[in-house]
Amino acid sequence: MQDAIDTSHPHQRGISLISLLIGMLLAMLALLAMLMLFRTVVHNSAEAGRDSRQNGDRSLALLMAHQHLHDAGYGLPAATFATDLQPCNATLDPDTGALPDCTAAAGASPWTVNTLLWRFDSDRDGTQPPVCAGLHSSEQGFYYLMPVSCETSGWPTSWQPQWLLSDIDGQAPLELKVEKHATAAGACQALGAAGSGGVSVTLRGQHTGSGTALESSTCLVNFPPQ
Amino acid sequence: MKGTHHRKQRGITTLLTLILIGLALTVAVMGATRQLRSQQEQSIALHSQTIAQARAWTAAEVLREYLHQQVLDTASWDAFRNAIASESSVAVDMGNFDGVTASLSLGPEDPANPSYRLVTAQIVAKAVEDTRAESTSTLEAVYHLNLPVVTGGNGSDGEPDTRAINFKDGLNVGGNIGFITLPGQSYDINVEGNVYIGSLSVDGIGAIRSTGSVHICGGGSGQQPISLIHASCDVDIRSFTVSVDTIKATRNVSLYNHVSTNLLVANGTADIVSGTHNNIYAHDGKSEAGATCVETPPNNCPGSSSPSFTGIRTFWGTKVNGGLYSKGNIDPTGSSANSGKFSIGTEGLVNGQACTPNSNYECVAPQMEAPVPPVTVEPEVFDVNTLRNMANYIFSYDGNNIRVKVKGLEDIPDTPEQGELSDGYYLMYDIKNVPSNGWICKKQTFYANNKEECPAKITWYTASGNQPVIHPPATSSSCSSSGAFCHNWRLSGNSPSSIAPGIAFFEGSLTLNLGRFTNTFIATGDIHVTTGGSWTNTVFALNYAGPDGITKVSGMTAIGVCDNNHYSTVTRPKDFCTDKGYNHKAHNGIGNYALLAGSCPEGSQNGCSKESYIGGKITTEKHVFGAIKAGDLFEGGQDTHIYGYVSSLGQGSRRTTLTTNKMGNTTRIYLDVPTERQDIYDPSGGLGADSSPPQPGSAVLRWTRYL
Repeated sequence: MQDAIDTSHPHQRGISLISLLIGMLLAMLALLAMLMLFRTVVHNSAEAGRDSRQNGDRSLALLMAHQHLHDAGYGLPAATFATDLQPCNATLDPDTGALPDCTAAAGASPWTVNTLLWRFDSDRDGTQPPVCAGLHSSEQGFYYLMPVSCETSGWPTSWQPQWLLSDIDGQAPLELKVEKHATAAGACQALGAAGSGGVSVTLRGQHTGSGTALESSTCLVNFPPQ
Repeated sequence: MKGTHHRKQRGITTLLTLILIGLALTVAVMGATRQLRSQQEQSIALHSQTIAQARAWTAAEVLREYLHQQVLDTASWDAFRNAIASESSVAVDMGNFDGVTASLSLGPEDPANPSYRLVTAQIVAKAVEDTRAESTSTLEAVYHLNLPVVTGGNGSDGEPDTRAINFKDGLNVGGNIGFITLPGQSYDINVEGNVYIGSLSVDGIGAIRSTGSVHICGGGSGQQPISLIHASCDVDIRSFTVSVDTIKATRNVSLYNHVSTNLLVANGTADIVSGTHNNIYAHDGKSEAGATCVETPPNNCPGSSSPSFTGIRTFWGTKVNGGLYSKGNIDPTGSSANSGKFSIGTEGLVNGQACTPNSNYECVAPQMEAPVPPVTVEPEVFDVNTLRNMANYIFSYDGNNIRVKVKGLEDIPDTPEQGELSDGYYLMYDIKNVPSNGWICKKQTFYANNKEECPAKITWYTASGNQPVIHPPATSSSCSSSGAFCHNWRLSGNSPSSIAPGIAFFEGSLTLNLGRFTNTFIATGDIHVTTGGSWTNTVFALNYAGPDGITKVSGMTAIGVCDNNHYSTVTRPKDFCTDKGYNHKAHNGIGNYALLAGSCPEGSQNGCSKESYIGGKITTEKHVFGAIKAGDLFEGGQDTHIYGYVSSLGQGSRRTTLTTNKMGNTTRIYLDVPTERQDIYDPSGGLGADSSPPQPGSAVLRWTRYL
């Protein structure tokens, strides 16, 4: 019995030290690999989450912009393109709201611009001055120009910009593509369901991360084909 | 012991490490899960919002279709309007349209454009209800309803059961006006605006309806009672011996001397002097409808005054068969039962005290008739341009030449077929003392003996002077001597017929100065039949004149449409003069009309605004044998006699306090047709359902926005 005990002890001690060292090394390598894997997974997950959030914000901004766009021409007895809906290019000072000299888009339809201004009459009675509002896109953000009282012609130069999308993240600014439909046959319908619109507006951007195109169109049924 | 202690520490370290790693992994997983869930919710919310919007827009189109069905005809529109007008907003049952609710409200009528109404719909659409991703989209849609259009009168071959004299923009007759009918005939007088008649001599009136007040200040009727007088304000009748079955007023009724009624309902007060009456109801302004007027009422009849009492007052021998019922007081002084006792039912007092029965009346609980609704008048669109294709002659002036287009003549090809004509017109050289005077020619010529160049003579001039008949409108520089008619076409012809019989259409205003005519005259502007020349100068509608003419109608003579000794047979209007005889139904009875005036600017569809309406005023100071339809106003001079129905539609903007439909003293409107014309002449006119069928309305999505 004693021989058996004596034989086993020296063998166990030698192997224990080396194996401990090797084990520790392997454990450290494994832990390092797992930590790196974990870091990568967490990083990618964070990136994807941020992209997804930004894409969601961008889609939400487009949704809000479209809802505002449907105010264009509301309540005006004879809403007219260029008079009551003006695609143009301008520079907005987000701090002061100054938007001087919005240059009307030149050439034939469709036009791609950074600003779209419109007029509407909420109470539809024509007794009060109409209201003007707009959308503006630049590298600083995508803005809703909140409604301000205005005349029946011309456009205000001072606005109250409201951020629809503040984080451009190096992406190109959203574009506003405005297309005019001259005939009833070519008129558009809101969501393909109702109305007969003479103007459609497409907001174009890119998805964050993948860079794929992001487009959304609205038919302005308050403007009949002209 | 030492070795044992080390083994325990390694165990705890391992355990702690595992716990920490486990916690870190748990936090990481939960964080990632939460972030994922947040993204999913945002994504689903966007998605569900899109679904909600799509539902809202689809509902907007469904509602448009629904509204379109409501304006296809007047019956549908009336039912819809009555259903929706009583409330500010009416919920719409969207049937199986899941997740969508909608309500409609009817906008007020626009006096400037009565042919359309706006309806506002609020549409609420929901998606994925009762979940965390529920979305709601609220859309406000405004629909433009083009109302169904009915044209006046009946076709000549229809039963003339709804004959009506229609005046829009009021009716003001300063003196005496008389309506003469055949026994048994009846007709309605519908007036948009106030009616003020100094003295009315009538028989056969079916109803008088006014969107304002009805003031008749004298006169009398024959044996036939008036079935209804209905006013959207006051009814004031004085010294007018008449029996009226029903009188209804949205404000006060005042009857003075010799007016008898079967039923009288006033939303305000009733002031009765004499006459025999059955039941009288006065709401005294205490019903929900109030006692209101839309129009400012005209002056009272001489001797009338505003009531200084409430409820009902009966004076001076008023006979009552049924009862007096009022929400105000009742003063029955001077009234008595026609037989037995009459009833008094009031929420107020009787002669200042609670009702006490006596030998004359008994006291009962007030049982009121429903309040009187306002009078509504259907919109009617009238534009003579729609009659252009019926005309045998269309006259226009280019500043140098009278240009004529012809159509439907017996032996002259319709103008559009004339390839050789200059600009598609015949030219007319109506020049004094030249041979071509009165001829229509293919080119400028003074020699009318060339039948190829000048196929027909269409005016008849005096033998003594060869005076031109058709004077074109003058330019402004040469207007001073021509006076008020300067810018009008002026016809100064000679009896017995100044231009060839047929339908004559003039681009512009027209003055019939001298001459006797067998024509249906149509003008895009105004028409004025002046007092010039003999009193026998007059206008006969084609169907009144008939194929061979008519003589001794009030001492006047009309030449025949088809056979006469003055014009070549090549100018016979072949739609009227057929192989089978005279066709009085040609163009659905337009031959019943003598004068038609008023138009919308070229290119207008379904009418136009008051501001853009052109002309439409017809003034007559002579006898006119035929129906008259004025797009805007009618004015009859003293002693004007009209042998047909008169309608004025008030589509222009010339109405003012003083400018309304007027008739001078002793105006007479003869609705009795001579025996020899009863088979071909309908005094109520044509152009009804046969000529221009009722135009269905339509619904268009006008404005939309998200709320």
